[in-house]
Amino acid sequence: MFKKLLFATTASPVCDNAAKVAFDLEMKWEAKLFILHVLGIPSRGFGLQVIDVRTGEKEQPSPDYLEWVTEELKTTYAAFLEESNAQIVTAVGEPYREILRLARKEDVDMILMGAHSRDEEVGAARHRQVAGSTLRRVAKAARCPVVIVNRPCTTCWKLFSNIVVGTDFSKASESAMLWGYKLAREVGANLHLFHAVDITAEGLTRPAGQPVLEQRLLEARRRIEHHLLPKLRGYEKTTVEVWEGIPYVEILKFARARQADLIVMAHHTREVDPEEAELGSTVEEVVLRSSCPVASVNHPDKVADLL
Amino acid sequence: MDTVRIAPDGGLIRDSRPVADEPLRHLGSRVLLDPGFTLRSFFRMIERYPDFARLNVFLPECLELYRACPAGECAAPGIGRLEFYKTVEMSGFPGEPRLEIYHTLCGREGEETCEVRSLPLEQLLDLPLQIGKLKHVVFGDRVDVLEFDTVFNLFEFIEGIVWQLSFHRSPKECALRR
Amino acid sequence: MEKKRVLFVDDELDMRIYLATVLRTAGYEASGARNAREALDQARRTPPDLILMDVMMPQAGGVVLYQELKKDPRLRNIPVVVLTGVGEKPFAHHLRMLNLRLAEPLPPPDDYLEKPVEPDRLLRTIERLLSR
Repeated sequence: MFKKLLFATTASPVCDNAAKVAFDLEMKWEAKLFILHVLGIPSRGFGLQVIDVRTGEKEQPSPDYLEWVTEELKTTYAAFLEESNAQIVTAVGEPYREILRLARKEDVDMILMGAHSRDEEVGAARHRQVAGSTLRRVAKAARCPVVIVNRPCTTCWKLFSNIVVGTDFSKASESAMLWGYKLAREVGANLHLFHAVDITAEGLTRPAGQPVLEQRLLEARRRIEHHLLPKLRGYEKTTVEVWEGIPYVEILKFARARQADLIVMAHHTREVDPEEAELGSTVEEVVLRSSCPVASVNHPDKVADLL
Repeated sequence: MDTVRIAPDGGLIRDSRPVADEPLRHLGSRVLLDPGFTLRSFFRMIERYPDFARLNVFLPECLELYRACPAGECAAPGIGRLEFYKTVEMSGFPGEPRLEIYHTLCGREGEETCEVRSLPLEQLLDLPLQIGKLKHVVFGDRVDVLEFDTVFNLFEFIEGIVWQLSFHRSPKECALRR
Repeated sequence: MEKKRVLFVDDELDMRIYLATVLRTAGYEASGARNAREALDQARRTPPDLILMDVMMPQAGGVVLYQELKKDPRLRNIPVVVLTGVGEKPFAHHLRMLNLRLAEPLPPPDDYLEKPVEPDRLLRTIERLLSR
């Protein structure tokens, strides 16, 4: 497990945080790291012809632009590459397609990406989508988890020792839990299972809703203990918590309380066909504010042996 | 006119009279901060007027963090004050040209600006807090911006600060060592 | 015929690769810079015949670069084409806003091009400015 990592980068300074995590994991896990940059096509594409100003003749661009990309990547990550065996891969096309293509071809265990492509102040992020379209499409279709790095990592020297897994009892979150468990077992981390009873549903905030809320909290705990915990095969470093509140608020609070260095979540919350589901708002809100990487898990492929 | 001041003890003052109840009706008023106002004063205000705590889902947690902080001397060295300001910035490709308007809380030392996102509340509470200007960011240039005086209302102030604070999660962020 | 030198500045890798491809295929000697600092260093070392400049670059971006270029007597007469993602009117507005607080207002750039940049339009613009 975790032998092959794919770091998809735009090579801008904004990807630096994700780069640090990628190179660190490569070293810690002695994994094979692929660094991929997909050359997006800004205008009509590279099948164009241009007129040579000296000769007036029509010319086709030669494909050494991919070599230029490789050179640029080597320059950008020069400091990291000194101690790394990472393989630089370049491609032309639609970024998400090429990322998925390489991930599938190499059967990578994890894709690492930065959350967005422009560095900006916290306030500016307010009315923008947190996850860019490339990230969304990759997270939706990837057969392996996508680890999203938004902030400078807080505990990179002990990746990972506290893994928080959010569960909402959906299929996707079961895959998320199993993946989190696999990882925790592999690296000897504490695994913290967490569920938030969503108080915005069905009038639970009203005084009359209090008994219902208590009931929900009990039910959630029972479900975790009877249906989920057994799948963790007695992993002793597991804890369980059930809180009430708005899920993304509570999971962030919980992650802070547990000093999480990774949050693992289902890609989407409802029971929807994974091929159709869009990245959930809970994941986005967590990615936005989390000070540790967030792994989005959509498909069960990487935990098929545990299902 | 239509102005509300906030005193260092967190009390709202309107037309020289303290606001006892119905604080929500002042949310649209221009806000001015009295001398001596700090981030701690902000939390005192929230405690005085509990209705404000419902304005943002992160406020209850922020209050918890605040209550867990020491009663004084919560000020990071090297930061003279906190400033709350508004930015208007044009963004374009990819996408259509649009104007983004947003608020930021930052640290100031003289004319220097610094981000406070990575600092815990314990290091910010007793820093003087002032309302700044409107920055018109031109060409994405953050080094040399146009500044204008403008009006901030109480809602923007409360909400904007909590938005910022909702990002202040963890203590230290490491410098990666390879 | 000696190749004309075009210096392009953009913080985005893909844009730099794209501009390099178009320019070199068309027969220009093209070199790229990732930010204002690099662009100024390159321009001062080897003054280009034309500068293509992205205007929205993080930190000290297009504005700083443009001002420095216009302040430097060796560089101020080099034609500058600005690549903008916000269109003509907003761009002109921005320039007016900017000039409000400058002691010496900046002249407008020689031309501007909207992103995404069409290769033909790019090359025609450059050709026109270089033949002046």
